[in-house]
Amino acid sequence: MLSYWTGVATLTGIYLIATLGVSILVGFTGLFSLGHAGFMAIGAYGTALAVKMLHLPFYAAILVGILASMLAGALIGKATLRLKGDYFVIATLAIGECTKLLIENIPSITGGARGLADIPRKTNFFVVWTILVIVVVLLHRFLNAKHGRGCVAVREEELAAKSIGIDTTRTKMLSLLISCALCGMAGGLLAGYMGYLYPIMFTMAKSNELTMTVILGGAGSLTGTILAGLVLIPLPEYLRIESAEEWRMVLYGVLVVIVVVFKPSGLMGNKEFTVSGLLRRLKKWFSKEKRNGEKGAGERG
Amino acid sequence: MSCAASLSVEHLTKQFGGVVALNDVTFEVKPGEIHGLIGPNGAGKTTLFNLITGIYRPTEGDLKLNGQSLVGKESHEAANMGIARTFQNIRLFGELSVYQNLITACQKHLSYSLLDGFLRTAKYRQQEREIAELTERTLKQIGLWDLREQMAGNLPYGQQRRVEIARALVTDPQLLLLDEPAAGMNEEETGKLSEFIRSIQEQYPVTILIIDHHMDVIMSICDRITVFNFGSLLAEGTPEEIQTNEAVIEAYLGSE
Amino acid sequence: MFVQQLITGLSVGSIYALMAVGYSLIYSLLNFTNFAHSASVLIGAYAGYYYITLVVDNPITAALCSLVLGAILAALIERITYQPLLDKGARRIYLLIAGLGISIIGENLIVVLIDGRFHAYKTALSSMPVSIFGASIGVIDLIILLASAVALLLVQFLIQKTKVGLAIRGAAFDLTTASIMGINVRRLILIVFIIAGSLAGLSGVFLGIKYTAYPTMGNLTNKAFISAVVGGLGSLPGAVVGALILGVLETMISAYVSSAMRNLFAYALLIVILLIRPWGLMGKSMEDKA
Repeated sequence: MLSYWTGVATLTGIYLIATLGVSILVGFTGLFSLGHAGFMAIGAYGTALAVKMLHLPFYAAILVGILASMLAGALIGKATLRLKGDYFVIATLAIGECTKLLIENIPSITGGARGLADIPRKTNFFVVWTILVIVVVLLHRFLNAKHGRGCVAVREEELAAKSIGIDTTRTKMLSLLISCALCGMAGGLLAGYMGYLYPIMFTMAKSNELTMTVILGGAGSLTGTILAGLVLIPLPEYLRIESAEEWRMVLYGVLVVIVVVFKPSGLMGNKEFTVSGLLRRLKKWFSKEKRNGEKGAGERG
Repeated sequence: MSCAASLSVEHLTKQFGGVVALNDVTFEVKPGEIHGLIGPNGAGKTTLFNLITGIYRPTEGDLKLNGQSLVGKESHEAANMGIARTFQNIRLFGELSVYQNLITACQKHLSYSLLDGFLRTAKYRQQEREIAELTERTLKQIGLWDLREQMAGNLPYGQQRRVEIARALVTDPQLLLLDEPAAGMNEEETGKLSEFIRSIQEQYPVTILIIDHHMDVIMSICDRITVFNFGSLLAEGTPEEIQTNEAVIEAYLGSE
Repeated sequence: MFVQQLITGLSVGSIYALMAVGYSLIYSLLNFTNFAHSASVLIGAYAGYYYITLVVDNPITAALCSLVLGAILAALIERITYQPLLDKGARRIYLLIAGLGISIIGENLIVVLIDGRFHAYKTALSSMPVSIFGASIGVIDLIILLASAVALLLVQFLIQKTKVGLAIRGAAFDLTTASIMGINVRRLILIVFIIAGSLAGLSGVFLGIKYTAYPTMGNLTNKAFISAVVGGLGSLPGAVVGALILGVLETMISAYVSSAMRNLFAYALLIVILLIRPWGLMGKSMEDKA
């Protein structure tokens, strides 16, 4: 039983790394993506093939996976990031689907739809969560430095960002590469944890799920993304009812539409969750309660 | 600190498809002056700003900042050469605080690398300290310090204009372009704005190019004025000269 | 053989064109990709299936029924989701996200409420061949081709010759100016969604007859996005040309190379176009659009 929940926690950690990657792109830079499961797939298969065919040690292989994913990102980024309009979104869609179809159609290398098995299992709970913590710290630092602020400026108002000297195309590219690297890494970790890979692990539905987790957590909040991820990623494990997966997606869809229409900033908005912030809120809330209480008492008296 | 820049506009022409937005315009902005641009809507004033800041490419002619050509420069390159601007329809980073708006605009002063940011090296810490000081100083000088925690998009209109100007100023510009800063303001507010722009010029070594329709603002603060009409230069001179210029009077009376 | 494939390709392409024109129409007006487009395709396909199975085997009335339902759904989506966002002046990305949410709701609701299986239309038409120039051609392909052409010509007439069409063209050029000039922009947007929705509903029925109805068929709108980019994003004639090219090439690939390569080819084509000619075949180069 314990090992089952460790497994859930490990997978949650892996998908959280990918979600954080999407958060940088979608939440902080304001670029929409429909294909990040594709970048995970590139990272996963890149890692697995580097281990199986090039006989690289696992962590060197993960680097190969990350680089492959970044390369694919650079390709579509170079083509579309300087254009106005939805070209980038449509390109992410293409890269996501293309990757999956390529994997399915070259079975001699990737195992095709039947999957790729016998990948050495080299990751575990501790490795994944250590990496996750490092990623969170690094992203937090990134967002409080020049380049991260540039990303947010691009999201907020592109023309103004240019007018204060930000090279917006380069900034978008940087954000895309970071998100690809994180998704690629998550893919590699997934390969090293599961020991096998199937193309259906990386469908468009998975990409959509990554993006929606970010939106529900709050576009522009790392802690919001983490909280949403911790709740939503393991959700199918708690909900074991018939067609739970589909009901979950319906719920996601409805929540996303409601959030976007009524509270576009998501769960956390662009605020970060901090202990001092929580205390401040509680204090405010209590003093209000107290005042209401006194007022109520006064009326009664 | 940088010093105020000169700007020369030389035979500048801009066409959109077949429409001529600017037609063979030539004039000079001297270092340190406040230079006004006036003319009816559609006269090509904002087009000129967009050409200076690299949003548009000129069809013909040249633009020079301190003798260095601006043609072919991207927006961000123009900004890094020392040109800052505000927009006709305010473009703040609406969901960020006033403080974050300014700190974000300090890009130019930060030379540390991505890695420095990840590792929080000494270089990162020192430069971040410097821009924090610069931001604080600017906010205090402009009287926005008390509003620093407010979300920029929630501020009243007049304050948003001030934040936008403050954001332009932290980039340490040599040339500041103000696009209708007094738009939508009442008489009292425009009075304050005129004082404010004058105080900027006293506190910062910067050349200011300003577009506005409020003649009281333009006449009271500008050292020189250029008048546009249908994309062409109509007149140029001091406020006194412009007020008595017959071509200008005719264009303005004729159009209204 | 070749003529037969060409007709099949054109028929597939004309279905893509129905979707792509609606998509491009909305894009040209509002500058965002309507991911909720797939919901109208889905409702069209399932409505057609149930109509033919439960009511009467008449593809023409079935198509009309799907068309109306597709339009109603698109109008509802526009009023409930997009309109409040547009009124608020929300960022474009929120429109994309909302559309994505709706398409996910649609796809999964079908699985939950009906099932996840493929539903083949029980119509006599789908396997009936006819002989032209010695080639055996599916009657259904000819009907689809013809009906799509009629629908597209009607839209063309609407946009080029009517007052509403003039307003749409003006608004596509500049939405703000249009509203200043007294055009009721909210109503115009609704009309555009209704046109796009009815085309999508119609395409749903055709896709259903040709391939069956199934929950993830909304993803076929991806083909509309590809067509639109190939033809030039935002250009209506471009969308039609792109769709026909895509349909024919796809059919040829699956006939002469491998049917497994069909989708891979479509997405690869998109990436190639984005790399070498992002403004598409009929679009203008995008310089100077600040």
